[in-house]
Amino acid sequence: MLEGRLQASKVDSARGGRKGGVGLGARPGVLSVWLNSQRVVGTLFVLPALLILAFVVVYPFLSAIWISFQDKMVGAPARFIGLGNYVELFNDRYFVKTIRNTLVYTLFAVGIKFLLGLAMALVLAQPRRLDFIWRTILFVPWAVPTIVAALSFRWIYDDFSGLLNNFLIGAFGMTDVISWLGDPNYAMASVIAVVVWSGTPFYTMSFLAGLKAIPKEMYEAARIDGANVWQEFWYVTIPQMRSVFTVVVMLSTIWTSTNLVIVQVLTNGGPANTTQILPNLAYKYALAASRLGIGSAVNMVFFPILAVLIYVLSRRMLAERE
Amino acid sequence: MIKKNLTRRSALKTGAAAGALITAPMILTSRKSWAQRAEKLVYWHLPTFTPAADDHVRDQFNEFVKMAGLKEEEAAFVVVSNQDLVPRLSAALETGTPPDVARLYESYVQLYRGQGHMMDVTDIVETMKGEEGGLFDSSLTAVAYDGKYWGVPFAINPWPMHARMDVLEENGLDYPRTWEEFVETCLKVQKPPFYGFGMDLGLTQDATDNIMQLCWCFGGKTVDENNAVVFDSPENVAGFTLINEMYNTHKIIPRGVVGNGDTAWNNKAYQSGQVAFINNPTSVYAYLAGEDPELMKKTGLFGVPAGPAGAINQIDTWSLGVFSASPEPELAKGLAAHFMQPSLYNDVITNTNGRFVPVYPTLFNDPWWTERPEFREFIDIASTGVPISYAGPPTAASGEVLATNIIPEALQLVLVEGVDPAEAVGEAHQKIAAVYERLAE
Amino acid sequence: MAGVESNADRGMKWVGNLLLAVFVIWTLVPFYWMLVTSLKDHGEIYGTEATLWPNAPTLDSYRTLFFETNYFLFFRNSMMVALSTTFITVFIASLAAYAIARLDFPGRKILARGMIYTYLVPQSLLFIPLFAIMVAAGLTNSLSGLTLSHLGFTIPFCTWLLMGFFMSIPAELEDAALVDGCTRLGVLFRIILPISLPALAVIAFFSFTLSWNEYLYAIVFNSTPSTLTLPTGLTAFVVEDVFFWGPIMASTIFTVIPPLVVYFVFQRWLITGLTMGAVKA
Repeated sequence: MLEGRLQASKVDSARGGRKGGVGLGARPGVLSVWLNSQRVVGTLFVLPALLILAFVVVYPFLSAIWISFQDKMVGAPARFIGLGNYVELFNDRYFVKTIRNTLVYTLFAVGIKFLLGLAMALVLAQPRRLDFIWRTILFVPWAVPTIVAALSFRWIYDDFSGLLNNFLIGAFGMTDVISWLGDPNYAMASVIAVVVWSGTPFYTMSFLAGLKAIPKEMYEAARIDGANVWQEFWYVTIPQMRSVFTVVVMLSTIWTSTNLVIVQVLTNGGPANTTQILPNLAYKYALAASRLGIGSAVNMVFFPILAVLIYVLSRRMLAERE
Repeated sequence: MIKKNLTRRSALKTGAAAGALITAPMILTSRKSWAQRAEKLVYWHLPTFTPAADDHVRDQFNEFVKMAGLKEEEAAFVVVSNQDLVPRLSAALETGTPPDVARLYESYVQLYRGQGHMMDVTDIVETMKGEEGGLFDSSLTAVAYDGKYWGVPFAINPWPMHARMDVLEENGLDYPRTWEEFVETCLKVQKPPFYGFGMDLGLTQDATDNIMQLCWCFGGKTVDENNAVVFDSPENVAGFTLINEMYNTHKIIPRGVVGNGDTAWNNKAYQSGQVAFINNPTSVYAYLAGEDPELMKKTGLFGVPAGPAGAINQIDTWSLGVFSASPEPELAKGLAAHFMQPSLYNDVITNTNGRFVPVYPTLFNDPWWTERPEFREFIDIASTGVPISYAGPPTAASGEVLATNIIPEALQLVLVEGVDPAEAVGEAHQKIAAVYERLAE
Repeated sequence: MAGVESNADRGMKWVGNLLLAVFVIWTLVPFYWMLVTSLKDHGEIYGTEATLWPNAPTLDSYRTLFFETNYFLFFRNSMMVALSTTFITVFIASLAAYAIARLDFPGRKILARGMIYTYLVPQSLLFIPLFAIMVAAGLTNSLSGLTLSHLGFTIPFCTWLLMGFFMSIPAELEDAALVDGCTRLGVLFRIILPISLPALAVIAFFSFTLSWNEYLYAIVFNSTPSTLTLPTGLTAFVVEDVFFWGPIMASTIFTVIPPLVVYFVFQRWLITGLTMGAVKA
């Protein structure tokens, strides 16, 4: 379908390429009017994405919602139980704590990644010798599979053979080791540090591309007006980056709050539930205990919060056009 | 005019596309026949510790395929690593495409049997019982239900205490035989960063196992013989209290263990020479045999120390499950029976470096075992040990209690947040009771 | 610009260099740990001390990796899946992002948000229904099936990321072309995409690495050795509760290199950052 249209437009451009290099399909006619209708073109452009997503996401997604109202176990027929799963969850006194943990974890992880990523992008955007090397280095964590990153950090945090404690003892003469993951005071911070390490390149690289897309003329104009570095940053960089900020924060919030691997490998939610977050709890129910129904319900609890967030963040973006 | 027309057309198009999208998956799911697999026999193999044992299993599989007159492409030997088994099996069962035969951990046989996925293999098990010396009774509890057998006992997996004999010797001490002595011994031998007991207290399956072995010695149980939940008992409170003392008062357990997210870290502590004792299956021992013979020689294997109720040791069992969805049931059962022929089976077990104990007691007469006196106490555990579901049999419920870390979660409240042991035990009791109630048959 | 460098500029440069040094250390320490671990022998890995450089560096772990596993086959499979995912994603996401950013059509907002909502159900719940679809469509044990499943998580975010970039491009740029009679497709390929090279590079890198490292779908959907990918080979080094650290780390090092090479080679796109003037000319 779409390929057919593409062909048509190619033929069209071959025939109608009379206005120099610019005029693709310049022949005014029914076909080209049709091809320029925003409704038609828009629909055609999103169709491939829509098709693939319907196939691999929408159907599984809807079935996951449906399952959350069933007492579904793996491999067994299910019974509709209404809000039964949700009732069971909220009767567990740690469930609310898990929701709170997830909020704290997401907020700090996203906030730190944002600031760190922005700082990295600004530094990388400066003209510097060997800049291609620095860019590649700061990209490294993204290329490391999350599970390996988590395992490596698990080791770095280890009480005695861990790099971190050995370093603190050697360099600062710390006398006793710190149980980075075993001590409830440090566990969440230690988990967040790993999330930050492995997720920051997404911010850095997106922001860097965003910075590069800001027309140089805007800075030149600001300079002529006598703006200093800070004023440039506040009045040129930040406003120009707004869309990119919005998208990156939105995507990252979702990914961070639904990311399972790091917590699972590091603490599995311990000690005493201090690092338990919803995706890990969902995994525990859905796969460890084979209870798909209640596992799906765990996810649905966070759904409204994220859905509102998506709505709010995307509203401005989708409205501001033309 | 044209514009209006186009609008209608594009609207129609959108509608048609949406319709197609919604129906497509349904059509696809209803056509299960597309999924008809090409192979007649599929076996999922979980790797053991030694390539030699894995090779034996593979050879035996190929041998069976040839004997059964199957072509090479009609049989599949699929290697599935341990941590991938549950997700893969979950997806496979949901879609009706499980393997014909797979090695299953303890309670999974009962979980899947309850859902109708397991084939009745009573005939195979009866044949095995008829072999000289029969089978260990302990290997049968995990597969028996309603007078029939729903899995083929494959191996027993004792949980001995691994002890650093060199450290004990240095201090002129023997292996402690009571928990009281155990604490004293740990206090004598440990000089941080070298700790006494590498107990696993994270949110892991090993933690439940470690905790319950200690509680059993104090008379505690999860359920009684009739599967009634009896977790809330003074005996279990005594167990929790002792662990709390070991962790917080005597500090003979490394602090970080409560942050363990997986079961590898207590092994690592022992393998790195950071603790004098760990309570673990012999995966550690088998690893040392392959990679660190030096430390292996310094390692002794013992039953757990005794408490007021004696010394009660744990065993896990592994079984070969034959799935009822198998298109060729006779082939599937034939493969399981083939693997369990004592002579072939012995080749596999003796090549696992002590990782598995045979389900046939007579196989302990093999020189591999008789030449290794260090395994004597370990072998005893095979016949006296109890499953983690003690005092009941392994069930879907006991499996869920283990997999969802209810017991370590409760204990962590005591260790980390100072909750009263009695309160934590009571809370765990309620959760366990809810699981047993929900999964009651 | 050179020659008129002010004090403020020089100050910023030094702050920048200092920060960069901190960032590089923060990024590389864990990676360095993986590297040295892959070069240690068993005894040292499990030694009581955490050594910063192997006492006796050895390539044993790499030997195990290359000669005792199907590493090269897995590598090829991963490469095929990741490359097809990347190309298809960039193409489809460009079209969709342009449409959502610039065109008015029914269901635009619903579609845009709908894409993101799909991320709210994590893989650990999606994989079972998705597996059912794959089985029904006969797409298990195939690299194209795996590619298709990866598109499910690359397309939504790439579309959105591109949208973010497209929206920061002034609309006047394309208005002129449209007045000249250029089609939307022409505008997209002749005007928008060339200025968006940095953004295209970014989404290409992200989808490549996400697909390259994807684990759960790969392990559940495919089981024949000829269709396994690199991350699934990793678990061969975890037997029950014992980790064979050396080979795990060695395999990580070699898994990380391809995305880095791709990034290193193609990052000049990222640097390009064409100015408006250049496009107009």
